[in-house]
Amino acid sequence: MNQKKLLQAFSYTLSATVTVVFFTLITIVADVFLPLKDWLKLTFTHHWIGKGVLGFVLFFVSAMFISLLPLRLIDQSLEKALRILFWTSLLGTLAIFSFFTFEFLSRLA
Amino acid sequence: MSDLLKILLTSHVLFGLIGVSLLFVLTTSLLKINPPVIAARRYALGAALSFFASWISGGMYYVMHYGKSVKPIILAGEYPWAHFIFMEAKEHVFLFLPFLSLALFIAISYAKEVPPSDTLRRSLVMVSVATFVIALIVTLSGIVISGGAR
Repeated sequence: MNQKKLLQAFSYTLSATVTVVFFTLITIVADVFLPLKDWLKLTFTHHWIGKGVLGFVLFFVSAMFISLLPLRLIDQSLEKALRILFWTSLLGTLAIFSFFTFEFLSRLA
Repeated sequence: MSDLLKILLTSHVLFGLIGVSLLFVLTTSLLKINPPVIAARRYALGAALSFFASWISGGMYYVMHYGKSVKPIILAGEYPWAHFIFMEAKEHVFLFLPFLSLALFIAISYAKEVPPSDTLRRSLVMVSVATFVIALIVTLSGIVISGGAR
């Protein structure tokens, strides 16, 4: 019972990390590589809707995939996953704000 | 601005503020040596649901109105960086929040089953603080954007 709950908690914590990394990368890459932004617009009517829909699907699919892996987990596995999520979310936020600040300053130059 | 757009914008702000407030309460409750795990779980779920509601209402407002009517005003004004930096970053960083809150809810659900160790509690606090700080940055960015449109 506890192992099942632990695997579920671990899977969703790790899938949140995957999703945060995905949002960070697609935000920066789509702004640099315009064909990707155009594809998102064309497929989802708006690039931001596309990023959201893909991230939403990725979160649940990756959690399901991780929970199917034959992992032998202990409490420390969840602690480590939570710490990775902590750093990833802060670095992702910093990366996105830095990217748009840099892009704005480049416009002025 | 139509009544629908007013309702969408107000809902976006209100649900966002409810989410931030619940994250604050969640963080402070997890800081206790014996955290009230059942209540903490409810706060995390409440925050996740609030952010999903804020995402849908804010997203509709953003797609239907912001690009056509608000963005040109900001870009023509004295503070174009309010859009180029804060709006661009906010609309993307916001996407982290529902998933961080949902992951917290599921991790706390595990902690409900077993008495959480001190290190597990500390790890939960770290993610809760990070989510709260990000939500606060998103909220403050919203205020900057509103100022840029005036």
